[in-house]
Amino acid sequence: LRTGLFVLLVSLALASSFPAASTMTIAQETPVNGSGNQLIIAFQAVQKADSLGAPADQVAKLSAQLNNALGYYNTAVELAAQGNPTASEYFQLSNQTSTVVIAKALILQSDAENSRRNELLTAYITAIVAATMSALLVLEYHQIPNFLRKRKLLNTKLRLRDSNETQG
Amino acid sequence: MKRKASVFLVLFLFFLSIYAAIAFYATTPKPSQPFIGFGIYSHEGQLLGYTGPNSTVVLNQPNEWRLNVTNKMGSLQFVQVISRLGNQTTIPPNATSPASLPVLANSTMFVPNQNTSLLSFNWTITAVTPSGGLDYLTIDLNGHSLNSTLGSPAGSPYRFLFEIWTFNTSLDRFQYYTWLQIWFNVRN
Repeated sequence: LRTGLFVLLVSLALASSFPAASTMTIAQETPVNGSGNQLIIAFQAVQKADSLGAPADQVAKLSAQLNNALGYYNTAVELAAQGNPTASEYFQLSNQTSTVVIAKALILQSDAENSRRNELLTAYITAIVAATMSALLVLEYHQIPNFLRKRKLLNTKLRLRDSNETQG
Repeated sequence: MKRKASVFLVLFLFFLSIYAAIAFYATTPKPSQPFIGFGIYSHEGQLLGYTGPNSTVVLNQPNEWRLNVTNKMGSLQFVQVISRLGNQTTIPPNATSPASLPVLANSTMFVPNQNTSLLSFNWTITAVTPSGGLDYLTIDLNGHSLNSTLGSPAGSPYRFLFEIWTFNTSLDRFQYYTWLQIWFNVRN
């Protein structure tokens, strides 16, 4: 029963530590070109890694790569509108860059999740250990003076008295 | 012995509630107000002096502005900046709705959290064409020549309207966020 109670308490504390998603007011919307899906998937992957707490410098690098992919995509759209056949090359470049970003973002996500999990585990295990130590300390407080006295007695060196001293 | 165990349990739960609260506080991300900062800087890098004296732009006078987008949303953002040309009578955007004017230019970019990105907005009015009592502008914007479909009576001011849209991943769409405007008069 005690173990069950502890597990329930720790589970509740862990569950409540995850922040709730924020909301934003929505007004009007505009659709995004369907062929940029890979770019959007890459963006979503990086944004998720960022939200999970991935290092800012790593996210900034992926963001720069995303901007490159976006640049290729915009060039491709412009060329396609002019009927230029090289547009497909730029679409391909954009897709390749986005794919690389997705792969890196997934690794970042995994690292960030592990790091967060370890952080939470460390924090709550420390809390449990500290609670156990504190409870024991309070419960066994009255034995501490006895324990200290015993230790002192055990550390005391015994000295035989001199025979002259005894006679004197 | 049983009583001792019960006391231990009570004490343990008491201390655990305190230490768990500390652990929760230490591991929970601190709350912050998410926002996107949007500013328009003149060629001097300031929030003033966008045009000549009295907000007047002379024909063929180049204007170099920088649109500054600062992301404080807590995560990477995909941002779209839409610019439109308006006059004195056009209905501007408001806090919740964008303007319904034609789009002059549309730029997109990814802005990392806690970072600022700049967009160039270099423009020159290359011609003013009178028609039906209204003046229509030909604008060179970032190297592209554009003819405005919106006219204004001679001597009346124009304005550039800039809107920020952010990409909502759950809806797969850009959503209107906020806007800015800068007025100017045109002199031949």
